[in-house]
Amino acid sequence: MRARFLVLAGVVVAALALSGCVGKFSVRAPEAIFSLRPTEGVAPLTVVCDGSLSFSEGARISEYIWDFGDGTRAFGPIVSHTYRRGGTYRVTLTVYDERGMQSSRQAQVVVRFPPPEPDFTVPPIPVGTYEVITFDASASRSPNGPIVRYMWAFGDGTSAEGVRVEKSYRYGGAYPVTLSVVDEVGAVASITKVVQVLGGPSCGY
Amino acid sequence: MERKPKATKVSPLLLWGRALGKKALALVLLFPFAAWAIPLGVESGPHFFRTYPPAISSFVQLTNQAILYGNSTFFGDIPLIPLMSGGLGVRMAETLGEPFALGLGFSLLSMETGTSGAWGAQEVAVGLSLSYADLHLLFHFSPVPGLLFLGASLGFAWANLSYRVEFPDLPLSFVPARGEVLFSGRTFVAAAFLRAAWPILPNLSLGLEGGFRFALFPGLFSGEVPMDLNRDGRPDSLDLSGFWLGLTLRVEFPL
Repeated sequence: MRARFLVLAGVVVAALALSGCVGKFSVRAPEAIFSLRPTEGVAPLTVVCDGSLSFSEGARISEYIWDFGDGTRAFGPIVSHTYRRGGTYRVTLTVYDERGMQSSRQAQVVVRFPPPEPDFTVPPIPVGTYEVITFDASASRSPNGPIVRYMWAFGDGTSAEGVRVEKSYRYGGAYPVTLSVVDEVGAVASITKVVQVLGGPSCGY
Repeated sequence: MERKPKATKVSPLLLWGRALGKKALALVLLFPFAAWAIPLGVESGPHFFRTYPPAISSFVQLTNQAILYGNSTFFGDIPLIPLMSGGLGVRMAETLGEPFALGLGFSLLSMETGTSGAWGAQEVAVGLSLSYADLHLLFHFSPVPGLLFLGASLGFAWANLSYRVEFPDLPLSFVPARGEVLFSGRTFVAAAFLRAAWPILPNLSLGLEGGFRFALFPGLFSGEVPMDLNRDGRPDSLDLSGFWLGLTLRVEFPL
């Protein structure tokens, strides 16, 4: 009778002890999890990267290594980084725990290029019909590099391309002239100014 | 030209068979079972099993971090997801023989975890439900007949994981994938157990058993899509290995 109880008790104790330990048999790598604020915006964009959500079961995280995807790196649970140029960047956080186990995870930051700043000159005083007007967009600038296209819409249904263009109007009136510029990274911006042309609508040849 | 007969190897069993006749051979082979009176045992009972499937634990912990982030950002109070750590199942088997017994058995078990709540108008719901079944060939030996059993089994197992997640986009490197998916997989399973039994009536005993089951599913799939709960781009395996503690009611029918 006593032996039977001992066997029963042994089975119970062994099963309970083993079932309590089973979770500890598998040692898992830490998990890198982080937030990015913001995840998109216009350059220059400062992003705060917070890796303090990362965890490791049964060990402390000892190292946080950030790769910002633009050739720069940083260390620490919370860091910030400024992206100067537009593009899509993969931010990678690698964490190491005290046991030397590591894991990494990635997230994406989309940095948009800032728009170029188009500008052009218009005649300071009204011009007459058939008078040649020179539009000059050489004052346009872009922080992303040179401007590669200048596109004009003269407000009378005609258009042209070039940094400096000439135009004459057949009829008097107020014409909205729009300049659109494209820089080398493809960023586009437009500006519109009004040109006053003297003369009646029926004036012409 | 005279043909020489070919020499053929004849097994000793076949020779016995020829000498004694087929019926006699069958009697000889079945003699050990006949000598044991071949008791038929039917056993069943609940068992509490303990397992921490790493793929699911990792998913739960990652999702909990996302919930913590959401709770602090949106001033929410969504409860964290409890780890899937085990549950209650049932085992049933029929065995033939004593003290060595062979039989067939099956196990069923299920477990689930999840949480739900809202951050403002944004609903959050995470639900995982796992069901497991196996069919196994069972062998056990009773060193103290009727009282102590040592057993092992080998068989085939099936698992289904039902995944249901509604979660907003957060600026985090991990957010659980939204959707409702059923992943399925199958694998071989092996187990070993020790049971101490207590006779409560003639031919009826109640046993307490502890055992370990090895059940590693190399992959679960939904159609052709492999399960990737932690979204690291690699298919997850599902390890349901673990210990169990069970009660077994065993009825013996002497044949």
